[in-house]
Order: sequence, then structure tokens, then C-alpha cells
Amino acid sequence: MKTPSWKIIQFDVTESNDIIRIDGKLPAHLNKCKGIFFSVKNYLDTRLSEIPELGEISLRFNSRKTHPVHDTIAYSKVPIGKRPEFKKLSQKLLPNQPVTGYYLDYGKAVTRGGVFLPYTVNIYFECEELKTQDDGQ
Amino acid sequence: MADIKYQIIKIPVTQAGESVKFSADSDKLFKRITGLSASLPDEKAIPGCTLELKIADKEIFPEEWELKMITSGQAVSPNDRFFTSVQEEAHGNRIDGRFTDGRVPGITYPYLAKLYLRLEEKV
Repeated sequence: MKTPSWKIIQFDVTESNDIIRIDGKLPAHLNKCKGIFFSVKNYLDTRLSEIPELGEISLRFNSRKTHPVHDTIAYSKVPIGKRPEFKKLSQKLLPNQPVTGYYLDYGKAVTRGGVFLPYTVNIYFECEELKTQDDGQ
Repeated sequence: MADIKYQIIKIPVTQAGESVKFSADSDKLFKRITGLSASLPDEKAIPGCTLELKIADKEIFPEEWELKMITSGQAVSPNDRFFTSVQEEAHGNRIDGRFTDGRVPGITYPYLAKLYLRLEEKV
């Protein structure tokens, strides 16, 4: 069993109901993305302890050739229970092709006083490099 | 039957937002690292903490990798707390990393962050 290669694309959400354009690249030597995970990186002192739908994310791979991810991102102030797990994907990666998309904030990251809290989102990609028959020659 | 060992790397954090480099050698008497886990004395401090990690100079966790990805609460059984996607050679290989505190309000400093390695296959 080989350790996967994990890469992160990060973006900041600074305004309520903002739409963020996502545009990143994964290293050219990676051939497949087999898992994905979304995380709000920082601590938010939100009015609600749990926000099942903080915002919506859409991702396309390989210069928009495929659209395997359209999902929502959650947030919880509650201390960690079970360790997070990656959502399964089986997305072939073409070298040097961008990962693009958008994130739509739902305006729910607010304090008890109704003030919006800026936050940072990490998109984790769990990838692998498939060796070809030419390797080692 | 393969032998198993649990090794701890302790990382001292003295103030909010501190970024601490650390390094240690995996136990040379064991062949493989088969899991990683982490804990902080106060689980409320976990959000925003990051852990970059290399084993034998190979990047395992990139910059911005959050500590919460390899932590679990007390209700999780001990064996299930380990992040087993990491499967690397031990054999005394160098473990290098950088831990960055998440600046959560109300946390007491200093504290010791702990990284746990599960090692298997005694030489």
C-alpha cells in the first residue's frame, strides 16, 4: 500500500454571499484524484454550533472537461469527534490541466450579533501517481 | 506476529500563532510507519492548527494541512484514531515537520502538541 499524495487549494471568503472563483493546478506527475475533502480552516465563533450548509462548491477538472464535484461545505464548532474522511472520487488527471470552479457563500457564518465572519477554505485532493511500464528504464 | 510500537513526538508551543519546526528519527528497530495521529491538551485549540510533515525527505503533509485531519475525539476507539493512509518506511528515517498554532481565542499557553506514530514489523 502506497501513501497517497495530498495537495491543497485554498481560498478566502471575506464577504457574505460572495462568489469565489477557484482556479488551481495539481502537480503534473499525479494521474488520478481518488478523494476530496473540504474544510473550513479557522475557528469561527458563529451563532450556530453546527452549520450543515455554509456554502456551495462546484469543481471541474482537466480544463472543464469533467464536472465530478458539486457539493456543500459544512462547519461545526463542536470539538472533533471522528477523524475526517475523504469523499471518494475517481477522477483521471491530465498533466498541467487546471482545476476550476466556484464557491458560493450562503451568508451563515455570522456571530450572535449578525456580523459576518470571514473564513478560509481548504480543498484537499487525495491523489496518486500511477507508474507506467516505462518507469525504471 | 508483527510487533507494534507507538512513538510520540512532542512539540512545544509557547504562544498563539507560533510556528514550530521539529524533527525526530523513527525507531530504527521497526520497518514501517503504519499510522499517524495527533492530540493537543485542549481539543478546542485544534481548529486552524496546521502540520507540515516529511518522512525521509518525502513530503507527506503539504503546507496548510490541518491538524484536525489526523485527530479524533476520546469517544473514538484507540485503533481507529490512527490515520492509516500514511504507509512509509521507518528504519530510523528522519521525520521533519512544522506545527503552527491556530490562534483560537481562550487557549492556555504554553502547551505540548503530540504526534503519534504507529510502527510495525520489528527488525
